[in-house]
Amino acid sequence: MKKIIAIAAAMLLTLTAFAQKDGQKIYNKYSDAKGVSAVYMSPSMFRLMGSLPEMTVGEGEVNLTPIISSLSGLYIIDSENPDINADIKRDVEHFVKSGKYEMLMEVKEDGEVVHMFTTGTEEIVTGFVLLTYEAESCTFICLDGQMPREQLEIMISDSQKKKEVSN
Amino acid sequence: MSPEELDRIAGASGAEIPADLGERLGNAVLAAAAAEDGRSARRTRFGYAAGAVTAVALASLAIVLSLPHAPKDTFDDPLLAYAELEKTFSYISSKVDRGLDIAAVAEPAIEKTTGAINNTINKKSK
Amino acid sequence: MMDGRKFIADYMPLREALYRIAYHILESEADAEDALQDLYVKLWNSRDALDGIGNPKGYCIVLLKNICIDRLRRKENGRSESLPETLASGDDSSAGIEGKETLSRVLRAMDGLSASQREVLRMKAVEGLSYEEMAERTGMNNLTLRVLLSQARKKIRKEL
Repeated sequence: MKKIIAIAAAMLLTLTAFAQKDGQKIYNKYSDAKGVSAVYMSPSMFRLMGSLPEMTVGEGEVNLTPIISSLSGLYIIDSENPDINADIKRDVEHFVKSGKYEMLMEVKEDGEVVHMFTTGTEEIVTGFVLLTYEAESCTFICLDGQMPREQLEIMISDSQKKKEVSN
Repeated sequence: MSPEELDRIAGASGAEIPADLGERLGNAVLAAAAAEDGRSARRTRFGYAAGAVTAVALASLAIVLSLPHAPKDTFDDPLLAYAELEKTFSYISSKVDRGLDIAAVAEPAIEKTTGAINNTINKKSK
Repeated sequence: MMDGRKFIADYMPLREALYRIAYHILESEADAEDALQDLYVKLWNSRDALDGIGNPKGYCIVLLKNICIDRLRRKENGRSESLPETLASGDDSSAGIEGKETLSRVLRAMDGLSASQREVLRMKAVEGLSYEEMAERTGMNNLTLRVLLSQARKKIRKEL
């Protein structure tokens, strides 16, 4: 279980122009499509988040400050448009195949398929892609940056613990 | 006109009520609420108004200096961005967690199968 | 402070009765609608004091009467709602005029919102629903709701 969490905790993409370009390509292609909600956070925004004053982390909240300094980009495409979901899935699959990504996890349940991919070294997690797909909806999350694996592992575990506390 | 008289007029039929009156008033209340919401969204939870102004200015500068053809940040306010990031990690965690739950359920069956296979191999090798 | 849902439950059903009063005083459909809009915005902006009101209808009648009489006076003096010729007539008046201009701008900004953006904004800003409650009502996930709300807020904030 720890190993899976450790692998799952490898969530940052390399800062290679190629990887960033593809995540950005997918974002640019679909962000204005009908039925799509899109979120982009730039390296600058992560720097700004990192320089926010000491925040009070309430019950049920996770302190993301340790991880923020090592993040440099976030792309989210959340589609409720069944006409383009298959295209998004195909583009993401092409993206991870052509980059140096390994499948970290696959979960299939109730018609929903979840894939997670990572890239990086044993010490540093440099890339993470999550694709959630079902006929009616599709979510693509792509994270850029560089993060010590252990730190990310702790943060992911904390996210789960805090969720349980707040539920 | 006294309030009692006006109350009587309120209950009398006569004036035709515009069909879109409810919608119009709903929009007016929404606009007032939205204006209030917009003003309060600009104030940070931590009263760090000056920092928020600086943050927005810096974000604008950073965007100008960023890679060509880079998309525009979805959020101007780093606090809103932080909240969104929190939700994103929560979402990712929930998917990881679900995978682990399914794996945990399967584990005994896997162990049982592995055990059976090993027993068979051991018997054959004897 | 009175929450949005209670405000809607207590005050929105009074609109037809109040409209009849406004129409009776102002004798104009357009003016009556405007007066009612002013009333409801005023009520919303002072909703922190409404919990103590035992008789919402009676309270609204008094407020509305004053609003209508003000309108009649302004009309008699030849001034129109949309042309604030002077801001020197007192704090209330100038704040009221600025408030009206802001409201007009926000209403125009709202025209530029998609139906989803408007609905999410309404649920959040008027009803004060949590993201979980909104997700339950709409079937949209949290990420989608947050993005819609952020987009709506951006457009509104531009006008403020």
